[in-house]
Amino acid sequence: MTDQSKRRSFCQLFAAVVFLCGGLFAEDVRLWRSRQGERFEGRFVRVLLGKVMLENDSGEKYYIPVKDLSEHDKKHLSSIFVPKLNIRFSDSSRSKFRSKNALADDIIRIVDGTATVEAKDKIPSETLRMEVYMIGEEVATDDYKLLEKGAMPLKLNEENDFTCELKLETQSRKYMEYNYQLRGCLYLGSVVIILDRNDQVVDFRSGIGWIKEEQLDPLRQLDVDDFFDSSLKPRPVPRPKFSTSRVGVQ
Amino acid sequence: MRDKGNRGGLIKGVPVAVLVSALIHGAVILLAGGLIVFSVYQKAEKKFEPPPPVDRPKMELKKPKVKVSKRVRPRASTRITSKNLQGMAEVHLPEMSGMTEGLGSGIGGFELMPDPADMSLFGGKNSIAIGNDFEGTFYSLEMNRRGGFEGIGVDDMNRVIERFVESGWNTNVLAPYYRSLQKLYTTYIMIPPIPSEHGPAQFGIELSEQVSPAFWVIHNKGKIANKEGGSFRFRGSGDNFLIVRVNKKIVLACGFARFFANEAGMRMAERWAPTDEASGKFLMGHGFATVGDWFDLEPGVAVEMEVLSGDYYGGWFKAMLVAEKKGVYYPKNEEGMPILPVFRTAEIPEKIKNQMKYLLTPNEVDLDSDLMFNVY
Repeated sequence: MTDQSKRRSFCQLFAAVVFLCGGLFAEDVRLWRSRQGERFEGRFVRVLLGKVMLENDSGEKYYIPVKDLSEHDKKHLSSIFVPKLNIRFSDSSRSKFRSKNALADDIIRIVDGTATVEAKDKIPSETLRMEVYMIGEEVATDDYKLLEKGAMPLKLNEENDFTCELKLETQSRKYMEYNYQLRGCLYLGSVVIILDRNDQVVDFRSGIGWIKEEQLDPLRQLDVDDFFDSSLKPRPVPRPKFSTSRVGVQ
Repeated sequence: MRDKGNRGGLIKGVPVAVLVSALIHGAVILLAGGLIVFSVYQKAEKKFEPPPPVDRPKMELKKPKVKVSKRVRPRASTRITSKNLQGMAEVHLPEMSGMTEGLGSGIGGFELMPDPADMSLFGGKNSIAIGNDFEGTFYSLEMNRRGGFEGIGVDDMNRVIERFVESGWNTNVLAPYYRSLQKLYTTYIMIPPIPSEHGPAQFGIELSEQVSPAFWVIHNKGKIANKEGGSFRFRGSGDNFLIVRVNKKIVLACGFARFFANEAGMRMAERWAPTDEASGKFLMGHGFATVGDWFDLEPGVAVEMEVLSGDYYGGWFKAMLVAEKKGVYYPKNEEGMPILPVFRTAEIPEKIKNQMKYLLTPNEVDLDSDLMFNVY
């Protein structure tokens, strides 16, 4: 074995030890306290049936009801606990008030969308974030358009009954261009994405069948008013066709 | 043999040792005694004794005898303002060798990054490029200044615009009409055909059964300059009208035929008429573009520019303005119309460019040209 290969082996061994140690100590061993003042030293494993499972270094497991934890530890739990969620999205539309002299062939509807996220476990959590994307379909082409997007941190607690809502509003429009070309963008549906602190997708709900999990990342790269195709690739802005058919029409 | 009875004689050796011992003991006793004396003798600590109380004569408090008038009006603050911007443009700043182009390279003008969400084709709610933006004021001519509806027809509206132009673009002419509180600031004049109702809405007027302005004008006022200077002219298209004034002189007026006809008291054609043969030849939006007069700009010298655009009856509205520099070749589109740069005093945000693109036919205007009329 040459010196170089020895050195490489040593480096690999050292890296492995560092990696293993890192993995071993990834979970935070801390002192947990109950409301009655009892102390438990261990790392958080999970929440099961309303009880926090803790494990100490010797492998012993403790189950403490969440409601019995001290306020400080409840707060700590909410900062590390990733809850299971119910995701819902509802939308409705209403006609927009128009000027008395508005163009007759210009139909605009206001679309109100509400994304609702509910924690199934009813355990406080502040570890997640919600993003909502409202998508439209261009009338004149096969393109799609991001009509609106919004985001909010999910602070699920007793005060809000472990439920968070994000309301968005956009317009769905179909109109006749001055050159008699039908244009506009009609509301198609929405996608709700739940992300953890590392910006990793934890859960999602797609109201548009062809938007699957693997397309969430490109969707998240889009800005409002961006056009894209069915594979979520950006598309140029569609332009009206040149026409002299309606010259001079006011 | 020693005589034991003879004890009175001097015995050598013993008395010397006793004497030395006695001296040493004496010295030690003296030294020890001195130490004891020093340690026992300590200065007694001075105790603080408060001074005897001082008799202070009681003084009567007197109210200040200052006359204060009951109604005091603040004096108008003195504002230091620059009288004309031309002087400002001539101020030369020292070169700063340590400064790099940074992220703004290639973008002319002194710009702040506006929030695209607050911007539209009409501009933004806040100044987006200090010194380079045009302030836009919206007037609804079918509303009085209190916001009440007062009907106005095309003829009357034409007469108001005529009076405004006649007065040297004096906004007092528009004072009797409703002026929106919200002003918009823009660095570009390029509103392709859009529904007319967007105008009032963008200026914060909430449309309702009572308020639904269809006769309105926007007065944009700002300053322009060009680094290299030269001769320039505008080409534009307006629905219902678009009038441009540079250095207090009309250089372009365009709109639908009725606006310029000598009917209904509106005699715009008598004040300004296009002379270039290309006028009315090429389409811009859904009307033919008008070619304006040439005007000169000294290098870096700012001049005033005003734009009046407006609409009546609702339907479509547009205010499209492109610029041309004398001696520069511009590529032509399929119709033979030169593809001219959009009038702008700063880089147009990408989001707004996309809004324009959606409404402009390909090769109708140039959104990415270097030609810019920024003062700073």
